[in-house]
Amino acid sequence: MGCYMRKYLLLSVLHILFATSVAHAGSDKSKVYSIGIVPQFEIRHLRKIWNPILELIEKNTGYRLELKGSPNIKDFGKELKAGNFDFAYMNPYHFILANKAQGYIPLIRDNGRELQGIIVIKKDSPITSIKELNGKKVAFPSPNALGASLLIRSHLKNKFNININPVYVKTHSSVYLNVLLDQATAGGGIYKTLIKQGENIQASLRILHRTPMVSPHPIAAHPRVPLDVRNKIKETLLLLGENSVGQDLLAKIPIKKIGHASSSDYKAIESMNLDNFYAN
Amino acid sequence: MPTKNTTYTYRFGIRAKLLLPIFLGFIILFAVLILIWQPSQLKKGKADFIVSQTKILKSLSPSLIQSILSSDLSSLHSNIENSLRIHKNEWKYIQLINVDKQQLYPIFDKKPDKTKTLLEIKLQIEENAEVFGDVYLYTDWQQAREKEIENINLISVWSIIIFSIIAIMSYILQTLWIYNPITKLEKITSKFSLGEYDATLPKVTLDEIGLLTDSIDRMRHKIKASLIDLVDKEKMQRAIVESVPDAIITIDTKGIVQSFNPGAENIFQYPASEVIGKNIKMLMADDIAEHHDQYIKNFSYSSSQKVIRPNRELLAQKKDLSEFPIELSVNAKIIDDEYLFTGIIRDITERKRVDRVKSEFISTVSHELRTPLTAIKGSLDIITNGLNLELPHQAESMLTVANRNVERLLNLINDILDFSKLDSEGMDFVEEQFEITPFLNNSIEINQEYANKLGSQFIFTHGHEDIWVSADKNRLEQVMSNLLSNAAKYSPKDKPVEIYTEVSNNIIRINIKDYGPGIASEFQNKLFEKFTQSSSGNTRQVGGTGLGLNISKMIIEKMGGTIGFTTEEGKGSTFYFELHSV
Repeated sequence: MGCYMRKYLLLSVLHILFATSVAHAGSDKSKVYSIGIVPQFEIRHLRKIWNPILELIEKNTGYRLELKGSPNIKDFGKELKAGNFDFAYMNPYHFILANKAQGYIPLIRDNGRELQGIIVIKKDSPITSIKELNGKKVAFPSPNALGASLLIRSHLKNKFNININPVYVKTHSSVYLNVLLDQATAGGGIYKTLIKQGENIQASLRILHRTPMVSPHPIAAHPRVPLDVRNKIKETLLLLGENSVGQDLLAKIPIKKIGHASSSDYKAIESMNLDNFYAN
Repeated sequence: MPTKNTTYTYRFGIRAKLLLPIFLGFIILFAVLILIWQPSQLKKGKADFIVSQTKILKSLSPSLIQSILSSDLSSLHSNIENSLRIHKNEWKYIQLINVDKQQLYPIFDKKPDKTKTLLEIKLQIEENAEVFGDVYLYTDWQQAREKEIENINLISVWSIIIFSIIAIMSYILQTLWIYNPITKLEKITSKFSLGEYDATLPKVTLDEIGLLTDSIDRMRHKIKASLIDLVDKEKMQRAIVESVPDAIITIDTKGIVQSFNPGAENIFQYPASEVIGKNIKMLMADDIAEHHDQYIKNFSYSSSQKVIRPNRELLAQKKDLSEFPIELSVNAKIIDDEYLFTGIIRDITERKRVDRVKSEFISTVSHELRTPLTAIKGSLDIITNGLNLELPHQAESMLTVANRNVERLLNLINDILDFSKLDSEGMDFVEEQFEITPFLNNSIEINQEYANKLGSQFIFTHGHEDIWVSADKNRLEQVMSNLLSNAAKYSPKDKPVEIYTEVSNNIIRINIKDYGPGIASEFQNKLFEKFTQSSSGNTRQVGGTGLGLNISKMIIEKMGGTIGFTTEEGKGSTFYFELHSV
């Protein structure tokens, strides 16, 4: 109870803080912008996460951001490429595509962590070197999962020139179970999901290899959005990261530690030629 | 009638008997519940449980197949874990093996230990005839079983309660409708058995007990009426027994006097109280009393003849020890499994005295008659034969008539004398041993002259040598004369009278056979009585006093023999007598 009371108080404080900025936001007050969110969760869940944030932005800036859902990642990618969203939250690979196609400008990203793919095998597996995976069955959640699939597959091919037999098993947990139950020799995942597995499972697996790290999902804006609008929204988002209520809201996106994002942050990914591995 | 007022202690009364089927029913119900119904119900419950569990498991298989097909082991696991959570009370363990015999679930969990209620259900997961693997479900029947047992127990308890209520109700009703009326009836009827026929019977109910009560009531009235009747009859009989002048005495097989009527008191001069309970011998002359025990002993108990020698004459003894003649007849009757002898005794002192006076009178009269008659006969004999007188023809025939009538009169008087002697036991017998055949030859020879007069002839057709008898020769001669003269009288002139003997077992039988008219059946019975002839009207014609056969019978019987005859009307008669040979 006490916890909720404190949250409520803090929200009120935030409102007072923002009140000053609302006052000189006058001119484009009624302007509505669209925001596209990568459909990594179902739409209802996404709204639950994003709506409180979008409401705060509106209160603070006067700009209303309207959440636009896409039925799946593929459609989302297409819409992004077509420049249908004023703002968008997407994975780094999509950002590369959107940046190339429409010139989307990154505003913020999670500075608290980097994306890195891991290759796991069974603890008692005789495999010691990554090269031994050549021709073997390797499980991935889906073809286009960035860390757990695209990064790893491109890495294996580009760096080690290894041909694997990929199977897509929908989820990260499924990947680990497939490895554990000998349905696949190895599996692609990310560290964050591995440590969420049960202790037994973690203890029965070992990480054979890690890919280079890449920056995580940015929130980017279409170049057509006026600069001051972009800046105001960027400021507001960065402001959220400065108090615990805002941090809690951001953590659900998930953004651990909000910070600036620039196009250079995604140069490494661009060089990976993920296009060759992306399934359209 | 002796009344037994016994209180019976019975172990298995009517109430117990009525309760027994209920009790047995209870045991059967209990046995059926415990031994048959409960196990079968449990078995059925178990089968149902397996079916329902299999059904649930089957409903799971499409999603499992989906997960296997898409290699989505995570959803496979969460699916299974979810199901295990939902059914956590029953589902203890699931094992999923794919077609390559690889275990897809679980990863780490071990099979639970076997328990009595842990059932293993195997289900092949398949779709469109394609097999994807086998699911082994270890499901615990414990809870469902407990629930089933709870149900079973509830039903059992209720059945027992309902049965108990029925049993108690039927016990109460049986007590009210059967036991109570019967005990009531028993109490009343036991009063009847004590002679209280006026005790009130319970109200007649409309059932079998009512019918029984009714029929007991009717029986009670009948018994009461019979009892009154019996008492009346008994009074009457007692009056008869008490009023007869004859003595009526009953004794048992030991000779102990049981009853002694006023007639007996009068005759023997004893009051009944002094005789009842004592031996009958006290009422007998000493020489008879000596043998009385033996008489009773010798009584043939198996014989159908229950009358022991009717009208036997004996000597009895009065209280003052004086002896007197009696006539006794004894009847034997079985009463309460014991022989009871009833003696009817008549004091014949007076009759004997009258008989004696009569005999003496006859004897005196006969002697007085015979003396002058002998003189008359002698005179007549002298006139006709001894004096050689020339008499006129008419006088001669008159003399013959006179002579014949005198002779007849003498014969009659002789017979009467013999008869009265025999009757008053005044005749003495002199026994001697002699051979029978010479005796018979002599007898025939003596009587032949008489036969000749009648135109008849005696032939001794068959005799036995060296057969001796012990008898009074003169008296036997008298019998022979009587039988031979009778035969000659009735025999036709052209046919002889045949005499022959037969011997068997120390008995000699002497037969005298004639070919006369035979004896009419109406006379056969009284032939040996006094003054009897085959035809009363014929007496004069054939002559005789009618006492001959009676006298012969008395003589033969005095000598321990028997006399009799066989006859056929129109063909003749055979008279015989039998004597013991020595």
